Amino acid sequence: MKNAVNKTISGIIEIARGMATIMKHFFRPSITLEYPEKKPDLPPRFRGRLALLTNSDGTDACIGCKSCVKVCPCVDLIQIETSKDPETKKIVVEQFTIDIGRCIFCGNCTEICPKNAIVSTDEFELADYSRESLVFDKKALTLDPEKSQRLRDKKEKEVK
Amino acid sequence: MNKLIENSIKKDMLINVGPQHPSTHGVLRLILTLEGEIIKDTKPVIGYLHRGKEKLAESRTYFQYLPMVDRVDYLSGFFYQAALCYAAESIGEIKVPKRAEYIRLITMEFNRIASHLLWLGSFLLDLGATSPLFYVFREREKIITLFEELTGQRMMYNFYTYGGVKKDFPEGWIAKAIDLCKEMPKLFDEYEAIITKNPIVLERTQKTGILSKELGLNYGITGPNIRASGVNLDLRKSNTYSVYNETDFKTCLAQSGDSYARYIVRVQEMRESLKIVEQALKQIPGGTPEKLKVKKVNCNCNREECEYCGFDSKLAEKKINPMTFKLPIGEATAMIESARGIIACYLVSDGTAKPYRIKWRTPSFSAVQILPELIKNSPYSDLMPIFGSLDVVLPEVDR
Amino acid sequence: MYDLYAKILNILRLPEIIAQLTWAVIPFACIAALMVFVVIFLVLMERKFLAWLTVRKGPNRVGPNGFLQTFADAIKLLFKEDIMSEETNKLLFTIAPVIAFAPVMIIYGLMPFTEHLIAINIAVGLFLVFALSSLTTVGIVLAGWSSNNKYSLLGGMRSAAQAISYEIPLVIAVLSIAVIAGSLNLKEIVTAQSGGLFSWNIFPAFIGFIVLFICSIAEVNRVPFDLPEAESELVSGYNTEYSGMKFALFFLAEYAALFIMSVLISTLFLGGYLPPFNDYLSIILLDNIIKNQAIMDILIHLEQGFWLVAKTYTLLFLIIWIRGTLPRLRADQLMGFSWKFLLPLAFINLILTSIIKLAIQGY
Repeated sequence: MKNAVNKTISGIIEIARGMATIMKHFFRPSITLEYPEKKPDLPPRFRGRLALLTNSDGTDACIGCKSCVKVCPCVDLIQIETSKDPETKKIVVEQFTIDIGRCIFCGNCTEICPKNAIVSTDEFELADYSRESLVFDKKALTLDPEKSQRLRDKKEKEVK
Repeated sequence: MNKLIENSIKKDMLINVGPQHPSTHGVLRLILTLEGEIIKDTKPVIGYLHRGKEKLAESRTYFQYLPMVDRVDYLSGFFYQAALCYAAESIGEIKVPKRAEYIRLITMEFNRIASHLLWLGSFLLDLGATSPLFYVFREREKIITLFEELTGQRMMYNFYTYGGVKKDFPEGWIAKAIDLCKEMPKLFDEYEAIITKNPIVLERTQKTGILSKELGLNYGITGPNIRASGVNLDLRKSNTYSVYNETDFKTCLAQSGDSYARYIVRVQEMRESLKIVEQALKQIPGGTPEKLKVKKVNCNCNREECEYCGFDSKLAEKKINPMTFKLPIGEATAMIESARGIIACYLVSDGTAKPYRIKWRTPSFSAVQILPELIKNSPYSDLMPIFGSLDVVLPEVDR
Repeated sequence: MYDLYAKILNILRLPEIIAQLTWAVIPFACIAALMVFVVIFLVLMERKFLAWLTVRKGPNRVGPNGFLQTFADAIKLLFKEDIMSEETNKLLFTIAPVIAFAPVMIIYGLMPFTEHLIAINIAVGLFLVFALSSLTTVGIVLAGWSSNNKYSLLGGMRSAAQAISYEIPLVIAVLSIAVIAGSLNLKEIVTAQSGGLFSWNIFPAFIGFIVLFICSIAEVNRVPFDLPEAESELVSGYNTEYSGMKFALFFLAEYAALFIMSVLISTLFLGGYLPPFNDYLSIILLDNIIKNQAIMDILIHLEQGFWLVAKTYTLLFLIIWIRGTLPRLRADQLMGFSWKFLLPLAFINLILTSIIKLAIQGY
């Protein structure tokens, strides 16, 4: 009998303690981030959509070495077509297509690029109505020289 | 004739707790045979989340496979990367600098805390208490923000490499991590106040789903599940890897083996992991990255043993060339104590740039097999608390 | 009141017969409107409170601060397709929500909201309330059975077992109130508690209050007793197969029953529409200012409504707070709790209140 009464009283006390703890949260500010009015704060290392950089004189930074194709875990995600310029004997990149819908945002290609030509931006809102529209060709991927310089500075600061 | 009568009197009902269910922690199908409300038999059907991770490894180079590894179990990504890296380093005899080992240890322990927090939230949701789920996600958000600053992604980190880690801490990370370690125990106290001595939780979880030592060891159950039954099996103490032997923590044990004991063990493990992280953050060779940079410039001695310029302060022995990275012919098994149990990665290399075979041994696979034994002759309402306390995550089961 | 109404209709030049016919309908129309309004507000209040208890914001997009959220939900449910599988018993499937909902609506008519606002004032009001609340269980069992779904069947059976075992302590706890007040008429029970805070029924029958509170949460199938609709186990229990307006009826029935149970507890134990002071606030504060008796009457009326609403919503807040904290009880533990714990308590309460009543009446 005494045991039952003790158990009841301790049960009530514990329930009351639990309820008081939860009540404390009533008075704390909410932690909701009201998206899409407020966007989240992204750190500098964030791996978002891929983009190609250009040099300050307008030419592409990519030299067509195809290292990024070889380290991408998704087979056939990056398709590059190059041709050799007959006069300067340099490699000209004609087509550079990435299927952003299949990209897993691992960042392997950005780590290996010798000229720092392919980088991760901080775009993550890529939803669209059809899968075909998520295949980005060279024009869609390339950023203008100003933005390129900003991203390059950010990456330099990061690496240091 | 007798059989006909018998069959019509038999009252067994076949119920399908289907792949789509609010509470099966993933896509698992359980075919239950119920008599009234008592469960007589269970048959788990798995394979709904099979992605072929082991076969995919055979057609990817070592560097290409690294980002796919933390998707084997997305809740404990760092542990799987660690298992693969240790196996490859064991075959290739690559030495890992101490700073990299410390970074690995800190990230792994934070990942353990995050995984246990998620388990806690979903376990209580199965029992019916809906509030702690939101508190848990608030805590997890803090840890995941730290990871996002460190690696760039919240869940699929792609951070370890063969020989070390890929990047160093950003500025201010260590201070933030130490602050987090100091404020977390108070939040754990809050959870304990809500749950640990709540009479309803006690009634529902005590004396249900008792896992005996022999049964657990026969089925190969590891991790907190078996430690709650009294078996002192913690790979961080018995077969030490990484720099766990330089940190001081205790193994959490319980004796009764029921669902409540598993809950207690995991909550205690979270506190121990916090202690490990705090010690590691203070002991890391070289200190914060800003301090390391300055001291390296000042010291500039290039001796091997120097704390700031030597081998131990690097992030990786040498930067591997992803295109030509090869491992010599050989095979190795690396075992890691992850949040749910022991992960083993068995790697066979045939000398080329692609592995010949990778096999993953995952703890949830064994835990699902023991479910039919644990819920025999329990009422149907006990299914979810017992299953929840085993901490089964389906991507681990199906790979 | 009827004369006023007849006079108004006379001015509008409508025949006398219309006044006689419609006079009876008006209270029920008011009750229906009240019910809808109350449920809408209650659903929103629950979502917002639960959100604030878990450091979130509740619905805040539809309407200012989320006020129109329930309207949006109701309109959405109206537009949904009514799915019925081939093998369900269509008649029972359709009737089940109605059976679960209609008795609750009748109970709304029995409650004394203020001194004059009571639609059905009969001598056995209290008895009728509990007779009707048992009918809702029939609706739930029918829903579980006619869904042709094993989960729903389990939910329905559990609900029947739970409802039956929690009604007995409920009725015995309420019996002690009938002993104290000496009648089963709800309005007389309220008037027997007049005289300030300490003559409310909660004081002699505190144990009865606790028992009634717990049992009414169990009758409405709320956490920690919501096994019939346990989301993590049975997907949704007896209302898994329902969609569209039928689901809305179940939903409505649960929240309406919750509100009316709180009103019942306030009426029986907390003094109903009576103030906790000796007299109404309007009389205390405004006695010398307002001389017109009619206006004073209206003010007292409004104040009575205010006190009832305040007590009811305090109890509702407590119920929502409990929902946010406690986990669920298992089926057999639920039954054990009721038969082994609440029933003896209810009997003890009955004996105690009888002794107290005899002692007081002896003077």
